[in-house]
Amino acid sequence: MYQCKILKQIFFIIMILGLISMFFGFYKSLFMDEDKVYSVIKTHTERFDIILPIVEKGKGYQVKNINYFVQLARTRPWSALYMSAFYFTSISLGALFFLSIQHAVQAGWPIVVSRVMEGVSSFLPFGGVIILLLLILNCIGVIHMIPWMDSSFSDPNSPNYDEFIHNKLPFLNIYFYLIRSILYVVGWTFFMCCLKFISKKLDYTRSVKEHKTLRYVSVVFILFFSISSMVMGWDWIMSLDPSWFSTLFGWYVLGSYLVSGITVISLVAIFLNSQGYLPFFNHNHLHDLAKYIFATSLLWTYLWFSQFLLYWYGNIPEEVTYFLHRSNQYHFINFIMLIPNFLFPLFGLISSRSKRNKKIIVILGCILLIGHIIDIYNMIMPGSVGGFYGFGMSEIGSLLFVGGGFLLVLLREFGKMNLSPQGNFLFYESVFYEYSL
Amino acid sequence: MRSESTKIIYGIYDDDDLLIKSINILNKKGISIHEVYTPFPVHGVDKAIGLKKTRISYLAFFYGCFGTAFACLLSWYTMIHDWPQDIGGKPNYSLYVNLPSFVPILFEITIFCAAHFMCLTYLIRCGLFPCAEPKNPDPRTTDDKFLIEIHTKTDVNELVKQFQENGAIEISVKDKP
Repeated sequence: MYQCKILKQIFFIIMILGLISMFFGFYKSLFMDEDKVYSVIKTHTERFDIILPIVEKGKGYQVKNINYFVQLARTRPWSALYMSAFYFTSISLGALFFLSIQHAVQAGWPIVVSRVMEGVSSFLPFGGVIILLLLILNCIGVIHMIPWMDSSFSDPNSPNYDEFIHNKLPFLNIYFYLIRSILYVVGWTFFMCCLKFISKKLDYTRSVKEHKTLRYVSVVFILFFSISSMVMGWDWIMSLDPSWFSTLFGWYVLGSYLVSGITVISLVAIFLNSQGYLPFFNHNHLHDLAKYIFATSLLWTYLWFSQFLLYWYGNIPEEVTYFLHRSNQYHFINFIMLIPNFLFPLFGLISSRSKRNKKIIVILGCILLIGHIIDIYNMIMPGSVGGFYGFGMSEIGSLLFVGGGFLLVLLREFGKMNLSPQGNFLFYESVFYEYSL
Repeated sequence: MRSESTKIIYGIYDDDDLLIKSINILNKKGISIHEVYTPFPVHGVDKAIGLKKTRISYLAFFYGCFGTAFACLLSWYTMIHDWPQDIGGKPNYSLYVNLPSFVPILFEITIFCAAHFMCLTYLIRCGLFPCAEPKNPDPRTTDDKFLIEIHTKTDVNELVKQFQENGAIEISVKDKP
């Protein structure tokens, strides 16, 4: 059990700071009226290059559908909150998936850190509720983050009518969408609680029955996850660009949060170990975790590249807009993020000596976590706010707010649980696990 | 003159746990072990006889870099310099602009070079190339026996006694050629 009052207060202060900063963002967005939107468009014309009907008039610029742009500009703090909520929830989800793989294949080495994985995954219901709240606000029309939810796109008589969005109506309609979203969050939370409950029970019963149930639940979770994670990627992220589609998008999102999930597991394990808890965690376990960080980083890069290469080669107008948007208006953010997410782990973690070095893992882990914030930003922002992006009060504030909450939940979980799962049959195998160079 | 000549002692075991125990006992007595032959990799032997970490990983990195460079050269020469190709309207005459389409081949040739050259290096370094003289002193170590080889100049009898105490099933001594 790990308890630390000072950390609790620090995390709480971080949350409050984030909340204050977020309020500034919301306050600013409320006063985004037509004049301010004009001035943004005027000063940042490069952000609005495609099909923008700007007509120069006597006293300045005139935009045809100005209301649409005002809506976009006002969405920014909400998108920032959505981005950070998704980032931290997906870290939990990645950790839960990693944990269930370990139980499903009966792996011996990670049992020492399995409680850390359980702790990291326990943010799922909290982050899930934030995401669901934002989605419900979208559905009832308070926020205009997800474009296809505007019913005028699928109305044949409307001037905004979009045939592609209309054709997707059987899948992308508000009711089905909400039911699916609630199903993911409830399902993941259910399996998370199940795994934690059985693992806790195993500590004192030490029976074969519970051990088998743990494996069974993990296998069923992987089955559920294999479908829900893919459809979640389409729903929560890809539908922000409703006329664009990619068949491997679900995997791409999965790659991103697997990296950050395993990185957070390693960082938390290193921290707890340095505080004197988790005494059995040593460089052999760290080596294996680092191997997974390395492997999943390369998996992410592979999927990024597979997606990019096909669209780059195909060069079909409605498909390449997604990439042109990010290249021309977001300053090549989708290429720049390859530096922290691919080059750093490739050269930093390739040798097995650096995989066993705590300092290197901590530094590279922080770089990777920042890199994957950029990745999530690149996935969410261009679709939801278009040219009115930035990285200011609302983005930093919401990252601090949700991140503080994430750390508080983790702290609370580690305060409640026994950090060494001694009831697990593989615990001693894990304690004596050794990897010879 | 005769007593100074180097002797080779072979101790043969039929159990890997016994082998490691025996190695540890010999290490404690300060006797240097020349080589150990086993039919399969035995965990802990490398540490017990103090083998250094293999350097093949550095070579692998070097071979990989060579493969990338070679593939860059190959794709530049064949697709851009010698006979410029225009596929799907993609811009040619420049490696830099065309790079995304060359990434798969760079990747493949990197892996090809790293894997094959590593394999070849390993085989040559271990003396496993065709027509190589086998270094193995006893063919049974390829089947089910474990062998410890010691080179010594003195106290042969004591070492033989030591082997017998440790549970070797067969001990042979011969002069170093």
